Amino acid sequence: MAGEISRRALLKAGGLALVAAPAAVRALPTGEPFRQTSDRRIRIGVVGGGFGCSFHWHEHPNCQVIAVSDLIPERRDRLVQTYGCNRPYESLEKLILDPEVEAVAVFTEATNHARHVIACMNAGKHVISAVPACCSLEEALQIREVKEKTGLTYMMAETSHYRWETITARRLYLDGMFGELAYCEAEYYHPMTGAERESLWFRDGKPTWRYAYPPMLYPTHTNSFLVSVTGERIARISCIGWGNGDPALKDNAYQNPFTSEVAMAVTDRGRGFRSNVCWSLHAHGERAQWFGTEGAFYMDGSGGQPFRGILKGGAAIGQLPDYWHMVPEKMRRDSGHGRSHPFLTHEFVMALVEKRAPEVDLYESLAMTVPGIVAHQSALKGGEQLAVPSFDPPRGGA
Amino acid sequence: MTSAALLLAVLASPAYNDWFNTYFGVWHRSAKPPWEIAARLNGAGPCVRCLVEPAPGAEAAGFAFGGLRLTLGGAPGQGGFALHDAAGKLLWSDAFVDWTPYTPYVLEAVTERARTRVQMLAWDGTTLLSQSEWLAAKPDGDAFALVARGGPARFYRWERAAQPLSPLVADAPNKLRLIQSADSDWRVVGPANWTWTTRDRNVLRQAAIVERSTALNRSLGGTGGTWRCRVKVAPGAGGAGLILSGDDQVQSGFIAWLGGVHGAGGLMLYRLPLDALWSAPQDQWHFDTEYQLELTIAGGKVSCRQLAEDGATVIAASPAFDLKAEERDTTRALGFMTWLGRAEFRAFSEQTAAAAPTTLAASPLGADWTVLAGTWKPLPNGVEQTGTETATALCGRLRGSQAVWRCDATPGVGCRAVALVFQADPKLAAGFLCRLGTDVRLEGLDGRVLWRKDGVALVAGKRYRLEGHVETDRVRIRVLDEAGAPLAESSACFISDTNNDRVGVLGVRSEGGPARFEALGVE
Repeated sequence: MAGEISRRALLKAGGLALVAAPAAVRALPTGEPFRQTSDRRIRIGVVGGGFGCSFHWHEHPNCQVIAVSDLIPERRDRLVQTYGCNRPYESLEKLILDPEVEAVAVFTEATNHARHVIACMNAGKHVISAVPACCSLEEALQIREVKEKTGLTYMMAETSHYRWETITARRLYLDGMFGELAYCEAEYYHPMTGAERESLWFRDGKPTWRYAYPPMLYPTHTNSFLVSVTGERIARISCIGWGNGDPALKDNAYQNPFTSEVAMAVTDRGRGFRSNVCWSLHAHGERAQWFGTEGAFYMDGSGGQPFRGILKGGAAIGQLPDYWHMVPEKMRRDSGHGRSHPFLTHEFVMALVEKRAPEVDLYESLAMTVPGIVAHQSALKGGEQLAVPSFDPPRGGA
Repeated sequence: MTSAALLLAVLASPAYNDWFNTYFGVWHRSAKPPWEIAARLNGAGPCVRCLVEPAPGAEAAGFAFGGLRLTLGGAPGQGGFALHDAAGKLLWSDAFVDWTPYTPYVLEAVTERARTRVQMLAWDGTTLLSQSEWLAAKPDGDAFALVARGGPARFYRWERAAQPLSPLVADAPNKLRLIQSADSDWRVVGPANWTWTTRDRNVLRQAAIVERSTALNRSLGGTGGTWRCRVKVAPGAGGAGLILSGDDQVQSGFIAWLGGVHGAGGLMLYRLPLDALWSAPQDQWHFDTEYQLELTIAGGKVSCRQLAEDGATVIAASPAFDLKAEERDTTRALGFMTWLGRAEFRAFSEQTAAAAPTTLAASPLGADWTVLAGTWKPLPNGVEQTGTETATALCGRLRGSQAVWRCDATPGVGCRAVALVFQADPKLAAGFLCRLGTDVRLEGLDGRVLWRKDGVALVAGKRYRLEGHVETDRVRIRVLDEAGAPLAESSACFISDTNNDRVGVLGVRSEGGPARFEALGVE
C-alpha cells in the first residue's frame, strides 16, 4: 500500500476526473492479493443467529468475535458454536453494554435494522448490518444523523456489491470497457410460495417480518448492481406492483398488496435503470446486465443465460475471474450470495483497521435503500414517477 | 518512501493522464500511449518480479527491465506470455498459456551472468504456470518500467528479490501441455485443456469440463489396422472415445465411444460426425475405471471392441460394418474425444500392442539396452527396428553429459522419421532428439521443438549421420550425409543449466517403419 499517502490525495494528484464522486472513489479496484499488515484485532459482537452465522469474523486475522446475541436460545447457541465465543447475551441491548465490544454485526430482522443500528452507534459501536439499512425515509434520516454525530463507521452487508460478477463489472466500468455505460437492468427473484412461504413467513405458527413484506422495501440486491458499479444515484423512480392472490396481501402489517414490483428509474446522470424485485415469479436469484455504447456485460441466470462480456474494441470476457486472492486465506470459501460473504467480512474489518470508510458505507447504503422505499410508494400510487431524496453529504465532504 | 509514492510525481504529469497511482498499486486505464511508465524497484537480487492484472483486450501487460520486456498477452484476448528484447524481437514465448482478465499473475525474470530465464506464476507466488529455459539475453542496466499496451492493466508489488519463486523444473505446466508450438503433431478441436500428466508423456488428460473436445495426432493413424488405447472417464463426464478422423475438423472417420448413460453406459460405434452404427447394452462402463478400446479397419470393414482393464476380457464387440467406397483408402489420424467432462487416455499408438509397458520387458538387444517400444534386433555394430510402430530403445552403456553424441541411421521403406536420442533420462523425463523426418528438428523430450530446418527430408535406404552436441547449458545438432557432408546444422539452443551435470544415455528412435542404427557413440 502507499504508506501515508491517501487514496484521495493520490487520485487528485493523478487528475482522476472520472471518479470525482465519493462513491466512485471508494469503488476503485482493490485487486492486490491480501497480506496482513496489522496485528490489530477488531473485537466484534454478532447479533442474529440465523443469517448472522454465515460470515467469517472468527477466521479473519484482524478480528475476533467476543460476544454474541439472539433472543432465541437455540439460535444463540448456534452463534456460540459457530464463532467459538463463550460470551452470549440474551439481547442486543445487553450486548452493546459490553465495553470490550468495538463493533456489532447486526443480522436481525429487516424491520429492526435501523433501530438496532442506532442503538449500537449511540452505545459507541461501529456497525455492519444486514440489508436493508432501513425501511422508511424517517429511519434513513435518523441513521444518518447518528452516524454523523458519532463519527462511527456504518457498513451495509449488501451481497450484490461483492458478487464476483459485480466486482468484474466495476472494473470494466472503471476501465472504460463499456464506452459510456447507458443502461442497467437488475433482478432479484425469490419465490415465496409453497414451502418457502411457510418457512420464511411463519415461525412457530406466527407471522415473521417477511410476512407479505413489500418487495421494494428489499431493494438493495438490485440497486447495488447500478450504484456500486457506476457510483451514480437514482434520482427519479416509477414502479408498478401486483399480487398473486395470496390472502396475506389483504391483511398484513405493511398494508402491502404486492408480491412483485418492477421499477423504472432515471439516474442523476440521466440514464435508465430497471429494477425487478419479485416474490412470486418462477425464477430465482440476483443478476444484472449492463449496456454501454461500446460494450455489454451479462451475468448468468437461473434461466440459463450465460456469463458473457462483449466489450469495447472487440475484447471479450467469458470466464469469471477468480477474486479469492483479495481475502485472507482461511476465508476463501463460498458461504452464500455469490461468494460475497468473505468479502463483506473482510471489507468491514479492514475499514476499521485502516480507519477508512468501507466501500458500502452509509451513503452508499442509503443510495441503494431509499430508492426502493420511494418505489414502493410509487407503486401504491399506480406508478407515479417520484423524486428520490439524496442522503449524500454535500459535495466535497464525506 | 514507497515505489507508489515515488511514482506520484510522474503520474501527476499531464502526459500520463491515463496512468493512475491508486492506494493499492498502479492502474493504466486506457488503450492509449504512453505504454510504459518508469518505476523504481525496491529490494535487491537477480530476480525482478511484479504482480500484473490485465484487463480484457490487453495486448501486452507486464514490465520492462534493462531493455527486456516481459509481458502477458500474445494475440488480443488469446493469452500468452513472452519476452522481447529492446528492439521488439521475440526472444521466447509461451503462446498457449491462458490468463483470465482481472486476475493478477506474478511475472518474474531471473538473470545470471549473460543469461535470463522468465516464469509466470499464479498470484499466490507458488503455483507455476509457465517457465522458460535459460535464454541468451542479458538486461542492459537497471531501468524498470511498467508496461500496458492496447488495454488497461493493474500492477502491484514490483520488486527485486534474491531468490526466484520457482527453480527450473522439468514438469512445468507449459512443458506438459499437449500443444506447445504451432508445428506440433497434435491438433485440438474445441475448447479443452489437454495435458500430459506424467513426465514421460504417456498419460494424456483432457481436464476441462467442456461440451466436446478432440485431440488428433497427425503423425499417428493410417488407412488400416487396429488401434488401441486405454481410457478412463472421470466422474460426471458424459463419455469418451478413440477416434480415427479423416479430417482436421472431425467430420469424417470413426469413433469407438463409451457413451449412453453417464457412468453406466455402453460401447458405441459411430461414423463421424453423427451416424450411430451400433450400440452395446448399457451399464458396461463406469467412472474412474480403465478400459481398453480397439478400433479396427480391415478388409473393407470397421469394427470396435471394449476390453476390461486386463486387456483380455472382452466386454463388448461390435459387428463389422462395410466401409463406403470413398472411405476405403482414406488416411486417418488417431485421436481422442471427450464429452461433458474429463477423461484420461494412455497406452496408445499406431497398431499398438495391448498396452504400453508399465514394467520393462527383457530386452531383445541384451542387458545394455532398454526397449521402450518396438520390435528390435541386434546388429554387429548397432540395432535395427523391424516393426512399423514408433519405437525407442536406449543403450545404458553409452552414457555421458557434455559430449558429442552420434549414430548412423538408415531408414527403411515406410519409415517416417529416424532420431538420435541423446543425454536421455532412462525414463525419458529429460533429454533431446536429433530427428530427421520431413524436416530436421532439435527437440526436447518434453516435446518442445528447439530448432527446425525445412528442406531436408529423409530418403529410404540412405544412410545419415545424426549428431547431438551438448555444451554448457546449450545443445545443438548436425545431420550429415553418408559422405560426411553437413545437410543441416542447428544454432546453439539455450537450455536449463540443470542440464550441465546431468548424466544421460544414448538412444535411437524410428517412427512408422523399419530403420537401422549403427556406429553409436558418445565422445
